[in-house]
Amino acid sequence: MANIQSNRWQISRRQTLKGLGATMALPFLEAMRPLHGQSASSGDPVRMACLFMPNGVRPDKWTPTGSGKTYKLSPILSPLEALKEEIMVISGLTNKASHGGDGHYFKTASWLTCTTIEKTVGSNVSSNGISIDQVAAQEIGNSTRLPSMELGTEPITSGIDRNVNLTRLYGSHISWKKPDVPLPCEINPRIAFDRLFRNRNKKGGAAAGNPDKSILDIVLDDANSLKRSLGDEDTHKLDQYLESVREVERRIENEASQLGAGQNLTPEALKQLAALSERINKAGGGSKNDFGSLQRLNPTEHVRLMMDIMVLAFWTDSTRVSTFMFGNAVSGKNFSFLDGVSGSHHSISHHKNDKKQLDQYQIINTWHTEQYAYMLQRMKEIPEGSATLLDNSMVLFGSGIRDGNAHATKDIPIVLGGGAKGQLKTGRHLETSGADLSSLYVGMLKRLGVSKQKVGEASRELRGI
Amino acid sequence: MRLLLTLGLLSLISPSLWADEFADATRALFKKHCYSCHGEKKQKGDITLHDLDSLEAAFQKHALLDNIIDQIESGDMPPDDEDVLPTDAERKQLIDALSNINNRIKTGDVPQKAGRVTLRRLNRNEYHYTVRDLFGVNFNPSQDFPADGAGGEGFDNTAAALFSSPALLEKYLSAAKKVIASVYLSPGLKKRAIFKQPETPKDTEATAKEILSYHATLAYRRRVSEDDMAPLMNAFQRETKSGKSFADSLRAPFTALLINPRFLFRAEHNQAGKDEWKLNDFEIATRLSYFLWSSMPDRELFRLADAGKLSDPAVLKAQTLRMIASPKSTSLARHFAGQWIGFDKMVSVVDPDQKRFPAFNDDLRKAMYYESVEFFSHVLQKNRPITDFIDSDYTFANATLARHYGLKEKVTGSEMKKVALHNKSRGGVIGMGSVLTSTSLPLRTSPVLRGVWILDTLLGDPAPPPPPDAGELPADDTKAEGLTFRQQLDIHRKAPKCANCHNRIDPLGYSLENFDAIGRWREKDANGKPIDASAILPGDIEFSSPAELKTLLMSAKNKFAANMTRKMLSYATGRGLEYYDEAVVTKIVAKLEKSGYSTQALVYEIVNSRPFLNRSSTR
Repeated sequence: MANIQSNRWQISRRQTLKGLGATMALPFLEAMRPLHGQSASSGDPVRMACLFMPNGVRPDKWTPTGSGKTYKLSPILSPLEALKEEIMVISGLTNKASHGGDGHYFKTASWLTCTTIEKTVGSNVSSNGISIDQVAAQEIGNSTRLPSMELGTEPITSGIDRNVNLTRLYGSHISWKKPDVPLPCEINPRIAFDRLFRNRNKKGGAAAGNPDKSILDIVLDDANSLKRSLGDEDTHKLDQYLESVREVERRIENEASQLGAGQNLTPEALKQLAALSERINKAGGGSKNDFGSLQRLNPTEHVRLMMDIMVLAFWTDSTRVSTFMFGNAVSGKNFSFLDGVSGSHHSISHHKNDKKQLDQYQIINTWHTEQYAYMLQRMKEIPEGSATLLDNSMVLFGSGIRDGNAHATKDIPIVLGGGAKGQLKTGRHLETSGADLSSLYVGMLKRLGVSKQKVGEASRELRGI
Repeated sequence: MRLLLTLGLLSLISPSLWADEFADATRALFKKHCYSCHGEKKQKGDITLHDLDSLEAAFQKHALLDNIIDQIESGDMPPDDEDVLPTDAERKQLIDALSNINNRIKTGDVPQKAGRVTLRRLNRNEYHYTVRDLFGVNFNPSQDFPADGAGGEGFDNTAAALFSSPALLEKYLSAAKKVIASVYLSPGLKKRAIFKQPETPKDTEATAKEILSYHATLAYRRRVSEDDMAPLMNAFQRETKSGKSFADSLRAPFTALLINPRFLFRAEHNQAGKDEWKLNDFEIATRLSYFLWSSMPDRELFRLADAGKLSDPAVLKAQTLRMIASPKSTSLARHFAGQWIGFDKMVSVVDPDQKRFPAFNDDLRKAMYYESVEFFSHVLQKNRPITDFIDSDYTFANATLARHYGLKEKVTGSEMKKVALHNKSRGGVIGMGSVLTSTSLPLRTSPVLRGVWILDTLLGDPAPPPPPDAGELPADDTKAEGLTFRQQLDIHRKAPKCANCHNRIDPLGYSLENFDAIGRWREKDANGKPIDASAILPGDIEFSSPAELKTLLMSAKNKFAANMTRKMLSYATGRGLEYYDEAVVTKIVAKLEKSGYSTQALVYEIVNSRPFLNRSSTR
C-alpha cells in the first residue's frame, strides 16, 4: 500500500531528463545565480525549514555545556562542530499548550502550532491552530512555485491508538494549513522532485491554454450548484476540496507567467538538479506491487535526498518554506541499520534508564543530528551574493519532547541553524528558563518578514535571539 | 427545586441541572472522592469525572462507565491512601447509577437515531477500485496518493478523518490524466468508453451528451441533471470548436469527471426540517457497494436503484448475498478485516529484523497476508460462523507457508489452498503468521503486545495506557543475563502500578510464546531455554497453550460478536460509533446468537440496520 517505490519512476526519469536536457539549449542562461520570483524585497529572500525528530532525545547527552559564545557542544550535537558558528542551540524551551494530553500526539501535531489539539479518535480532528510554516506560506509563498513543501520519510500511520483514544494521524502531521486541514508529507523523493522541477524551464505558454487549467475550470464551473443540497459540515469538507482546486489553478497560472517572463535556472542549478534526479533514480530500486515496499530506500540516503530537494528548492527559489519529518511520532522504525543499535526507535526511547538502551538511544539521536549537519553543510556551500544560502535561511531542528522515556515536556531539544540574513545571533548557546516555544516562532516569523506574528498565545519574541 | 421554580428562576437553569437523576445520584460523590485526581486540575490516567455531570454526558461517555464501575466495585478507586473513602452504601449508589446508564444504552432506552456521516471522500483503495470499474483500467493510479489516516473504530474510510490538500488534488489530476490516457491508448477500452459515434455532423452534440451522461451517471452514482451536464458539454463544445476530433473533444470532460467532487466525494442529500429520513435508493446502492466492494455500484445495483426497488428488504437481502458471492467482496477481507485484525500491516509496516530472521522474505510476507485474506473471504462466502475467527480446523496456505508452519498436510505451489489442520495450535486468527508477526517486535516476541491485541482486537476491551516511565524490556531477547525473558517480564509486573493491567494482559501473551516473532512453532527460546507457556489470569483461570487460550475465548463468544459487530458497523457507515448505536449492536448480537453466528447474517443485519439505511440531521 504505502509504497514509495513507484513502478512509474522510470517514466518520470525519462521525462525529467528530457525536460532538463531541452532547457540547456535555451538562450537565457547567462545569469550567474538562479533567478528568484518577483519578491518585493531586494536581494535574496529568507527561507525557513523546520525538521521534526520523533521520540525525544537522551537528556544527559543533549544540552551543551557553557553558555553564550563559549559553549561546548554535547555528544549528540557533536556532528555540528564544523557549523558551530552558524547555529544557535536553545535550551530551556517548552511548548505549554502541548502539556497534558498524551505523551506523543499532543506534542507532535502541536510542535509548530503551539496549540492544544482536539482529543478525538477522528470525528473532529483539529490542531486548533495553524502551523508557523503555513502562516509563513500564506504570506510569502505566493511568488514561488510552491507556497510550501511538506516532506517526510514514513507513510501516515493509520489506525487509532486505543491506549490514549486518539487517531494516529496526529502523530504523522506537523503542518496544519488550517486547524482542520493537516497537510500530509510527501515521502517519495521522485514525486517531491518532479513536483518542483519537472516543468521548470519548459517553454512558457499562456495559462489559459494549459490543459490542466481547463480541466480545473470545468470543475470550478460546477462548484456552486454542488453546494445547494449539502449540510454544513458537508459543505465544509467540499470547501476544503474546492480551495485546493483553486490553489492548484493559481499555481498553474503563476508557473505560466514565470515561464513567460523567462525566469530560468542557471547551468549550475540545472547540473545539480540533473545530478540529484540521477541519485533519486539510483536509490529507487523499485517494486511492481504493493509488497516489497520494505526494500525501502537506504534510510540515510532517503533523508538526504529529501534534504537535497529542500536545499535545491530554496536555492532555486522554488519555495521558501518547508517542513520535514524524520519519522512519525511513536515511530517503530527499526534502527538496526546503525552499528550498535538493535531495535526500533520508539521502544528504545523508553530506555528505563538502562545503560545499554540509553547508549542505543544516543546513537539514534546522533544520527539525526548528522543528517541535520549534512543539510546545513550543503547550504553553507552554496554562495548567494557575498553570503551563503545558509546565511540567508533558518533551519529549525528538534523534537516535541525531551526524554522519550518520560515524555518530558520541559527543556525540549531545539537548534536553530542559519543566520536569517544577519538577523540571528548564531554561534551561541542560548539558555532560557522555561520560555515558551511559541516565542521563538514569533521571532522566526518576524525575520521571515511575515506580518502575522501571533503564535499560540505568544506575540512577543524570545529574548536574546 | 420547587423553591427555585416558585422564585421564577426556571429560565436561568438548564434542564440537565434539574431533571437529571444521574447527576443527583453521582455528582456530590464524584466531587467529594474523585475530582481531585480526575477533574479540571488533574486528569490521572487521562480520565475525568467533572464533565460526567449529566445524563447526556453519561450517554456520550458510556465507553468509560464499565471501567469506572470496575474500579469502584473492586475497591481500586478511590485508592486506599485517600483520607476519606466512600461507604459501601455510597459505592452502591454510584455503581447503580452507572449500571443503569449502561443498561439503558444497551437496551435502547435512550433517544435513538440513525446518526450522520460527513461527506465522504473516496480513500486511496476506493479510488483505485472505482476507477477500475468505471473505465476498465488495470493499473493502480492511486499508488502514490498519501496514505489515509484513520478515525472512528480505526478504519481509513472514516469520513471525518479524510482530508483534501492541494498536493492531493495535484495527484488526483495527474491520476485522472493517466487513466484517460490509458483508456485512449487501448482500442478496446476506448470503444467501451466512446460507445457511439455521431452518424452525421448534426448528431455530434447529441451523441456526446449521450456518452457523457452515461459516464457521469456512473461516476456520480445517481441520475444526472441538466445542471450536471452543462459544464461537461461546455467543455466538449470548446474542444470541438478548437478543431479537435469527436473522440479528442471528449477527453477533457472525461478527465474532468475524475476530479469532480461529485465523483471523489459520496454525498447524501439533506432533508431540510426533518430530524431523520430514509436514504434514497441510489444512496443505498452506493453505501452497499462501498461497504462490500470498496467500489461503485454495478449495473444491477444501478438498475434496481433506478427502479426504486433496492429499498425493498427482500431485494436488499438478495443483493447483499449476490455481492458477497462476487470476487469483488475480497475488498471486505482486505480492508475491513485487514484493518480490524491488523493483518494489513503485513503489506508494508511489519519489519522483522532481516539478520535475525532471514527466513522472513517477501514470499513469506505475502503468503501470511493472503492466508488471512483467503480465510476471511472463505468464512464470509461459505457463510461459516464468525467463531471460526477464534478457532477453526482449517486454514489457507501455499507451499512456503505450509513449510513455515510445519504443517502435516502436503501443500505445493504458490497459490493459497484450503488446508485441514491436525492439531489445535494453528486455526483461527490467533494461529496466523500475520497476527503473530505483526504483534511482535523486530527482534523478539512481545507477550504484552499479543495480550493487548487479544483484549482490544478480539474482545473490544482495550487496556489503559502505561505510565510514561514504565519503560520497555530490552528490544532483543538473546542477551537475557541469566533471566529468561519471561522472568524479566514477571519482575516488571510485580510493580503495583503495573500489576493491575499486566495481570490481565501478559498471561494471554504467555500462552502464545511457542510462536516466535515470525509465527514459527518453537519449543525453546532464543537462548535455548524451554518455553514456558503456562498462564494464570485473575480468578485463577489456568491455561497454557494456544489451544487452551482459544477454548477460553470461545467462552466469550458474545463479547467477540459484539466487538466484531461494532467494528463492521463503523466500517459500513464510515463514522465512529455513538452511544445510540450500542442498542443496534445488542440487537444484532442477539440475532447472531440465534443464527449460530452466521457471518452473512452479520453482514445483512448491518445492511438492514437503521444507521445504514437512514440519515439524521445531526450527529
